[in-house]
Amino acid sequence: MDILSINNLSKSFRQQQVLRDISFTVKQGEVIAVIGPSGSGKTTLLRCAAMLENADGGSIDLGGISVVESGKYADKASLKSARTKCGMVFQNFNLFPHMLVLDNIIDAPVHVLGIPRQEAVREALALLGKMEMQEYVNAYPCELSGGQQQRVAIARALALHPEILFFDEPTSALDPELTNGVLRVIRALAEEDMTMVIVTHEMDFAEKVADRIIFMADGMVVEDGPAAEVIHNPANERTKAFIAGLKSGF
Amino acid sequence: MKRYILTILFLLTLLLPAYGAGNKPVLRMVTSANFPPYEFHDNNTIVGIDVDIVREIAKRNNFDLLIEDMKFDSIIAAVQTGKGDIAASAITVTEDRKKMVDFSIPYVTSRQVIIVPGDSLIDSGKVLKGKRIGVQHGTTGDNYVTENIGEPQRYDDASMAITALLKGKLDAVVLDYEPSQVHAAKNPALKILEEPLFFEEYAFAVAKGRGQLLAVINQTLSQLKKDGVLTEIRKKYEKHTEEVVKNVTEEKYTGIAGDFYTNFVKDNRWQYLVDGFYVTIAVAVSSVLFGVLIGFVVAVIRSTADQTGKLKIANFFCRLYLAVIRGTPVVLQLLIIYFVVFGSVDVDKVLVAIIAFGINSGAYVAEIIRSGIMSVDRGQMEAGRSLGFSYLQTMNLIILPQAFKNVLPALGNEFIVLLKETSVCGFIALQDLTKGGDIIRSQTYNAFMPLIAVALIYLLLVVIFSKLLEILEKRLKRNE
Ligand SMILES: Nc1ncnc2c1ncn2[C@@H]1O[C@H](COP(=O)(O)OP(=O)(O)OP(=O)(O)O)[C@@H](O)[C@H]1O
Ligand SMILES: [Mg+2]
Repeated sequence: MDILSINNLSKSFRQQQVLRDISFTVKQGEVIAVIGPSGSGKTTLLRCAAMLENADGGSIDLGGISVVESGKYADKASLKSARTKCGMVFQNFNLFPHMLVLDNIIDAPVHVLGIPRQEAVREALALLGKMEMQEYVNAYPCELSGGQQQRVAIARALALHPEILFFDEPTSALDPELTNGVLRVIRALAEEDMTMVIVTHEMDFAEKVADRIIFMADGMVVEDGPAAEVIHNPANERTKAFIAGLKSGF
Repeated sequence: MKRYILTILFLLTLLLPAYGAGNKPVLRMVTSANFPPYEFHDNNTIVGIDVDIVREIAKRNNFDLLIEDMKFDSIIAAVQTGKGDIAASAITVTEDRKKMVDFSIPYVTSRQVIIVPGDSLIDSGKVLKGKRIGVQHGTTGDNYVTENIGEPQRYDDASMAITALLKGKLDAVVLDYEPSQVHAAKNPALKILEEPLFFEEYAFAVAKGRGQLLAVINQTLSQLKKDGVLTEIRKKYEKHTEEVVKNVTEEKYTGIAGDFYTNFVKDNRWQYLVDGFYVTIAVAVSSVLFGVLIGFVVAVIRSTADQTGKLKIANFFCRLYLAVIRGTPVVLQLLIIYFVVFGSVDVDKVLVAIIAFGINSGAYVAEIIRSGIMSVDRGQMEAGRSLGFSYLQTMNLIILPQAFKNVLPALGNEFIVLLKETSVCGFIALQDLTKGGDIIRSQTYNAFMPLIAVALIYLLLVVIFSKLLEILEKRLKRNE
């Protein structure tokens, strides 16, 4: 079953067209890595899929809900229910600094989904355990390292039981020694068949965790295929050049 | 957020005094009670020749009397707008004033005299031209000097003018006869010229078109004249003036201790400061809460309009509100709200002040909070939206608490400014701290002690408040 299906998506900022005719689908339990040079539109694509940005044209189906059909957005109620079907993990975490770690996680379940507080707390503690963060329940975000903050942010997104999780370069704001902890928990999620779309520059990680890799350039999907194939045997010249560049170090 | 709003509303209702309704018809007298022996504060009540006469008028015509003390400048406006029925404040009948109100028959003839230093060469009104003359703003002395001699120096009250004269900043002061006697007795370095500058007649004023009331007043006044009651009342207060003269010249203590005694201890005058203190606190605290409420709403509308392009019309009105409120002096806003907006309804003045200062403060708070909203990282809104919060929920739960914390010092500053701005409450006859000091000054003829005391109280309030704010800021800093 397709959790996310994007068809002919386009998006411009003023004159500049950032996304051109993007189409791909994500099946239940699939992990997709999105790679591509800076400015190729990866973040914009995720933001459109997560409804943080409005697309100009094309269609998005999310968790069985038609969010946008040929550039026309659905009614508020559909959008609201679609929003709770996806979760977003940001490059710079965006935890709520004025709330304790626990409150960061339970706030949306309690206020948006109306889950009783006690139940939300119980689940938050379980999620924090999974993120290896249980001892920081009563800390403020500022008291945590970047890697720890990102793991709390993942727990926060998971607390809404999303059918799909989007990650926008979850480790690129982190010091190298802190990335492993975050990658480890994402990998654990993959093993539990969480459906995920991950924008990343970590090729080793992408190869190990992703089922498919999408390579974007100039707002287009240039290549879309099995992870090992795209990395070791890319069909497109630009993909080849990009991957060769990464391997040579820069 | 809802909880805060409820708390604020609750606090506001606490400050509204309950209204009681009498059964007799009420005669509302407006006066400026800093002019003994005609009207002044004595032991926390307003007394004087005018008060006694009007009380008699009320009694004989079966009215309940209600006395409102306000700035002399506001009195005519007060009867014109129906805030009061009768203006009784040693008002001199002049042609200009006749155009605005109707006068009763005169009940007293008084005079304006010239006070000069004892060694002054000025010996009559004829040589005043080109001299530096002090007057009390808006009085007939002021008008006379302005029209016949030249621009005077206008002071808010007589003791200020006298002090300026003593310091050599003026050559002469033109003042009503009775207070001049007290000032001269108190300051032996000054003398009153024998020959008055001019004579004048005092009468009561009512709004145009209230012929029936005027007839009642005139009829009773004639009776009082015939009965000799008028003379009795004047005699009673002549004694009072003599006593004041005696008191100010034969003080129990001398020097600073003496000043302190007369200004604060004697006749429980400190009570004016205490009462005024409560009014100032009530007005300042409630209007800042009201202002914060308005400020939050306006700031959210403005930011939403800026960020999403929605709410265009609401945004337009918010901008209009900001422009008007920030573009005009708060005294004018207070007067307009009192005389125009609530012109024909009887509203408690504390409430009027809270509304006026709240609306005023709201404009400044709105911009402070808007800057706070802009200081919060954009990612916070995105994170909120991605978790399924609506725009408003994200605002309330995530953006505003952070914005509030960021602008707390600026908000504290706004409160301090507001606290001191409330000192213009006297314009609508509200007895706040500043007005309390004014009342003491009008009784003791001492310009400095009450002023310094009032200043010290404001200072103390601001210091205490700053300390509390510091503690609050420290507590909120825990998550940084
Ligand atoms: N809000 C915006 N307004 C105008 N232009 C934008 C906006 N957001 C992105 N862009 C432009 O769109 C293009 C694609 O940006 P995007 O952030 O999607 O790229 P990216 O692939 O995520 O790059 P990176 O690897 O650097 O994160 C860029 O040229 C960027 O300048
Ligand atoms: Mg990006």
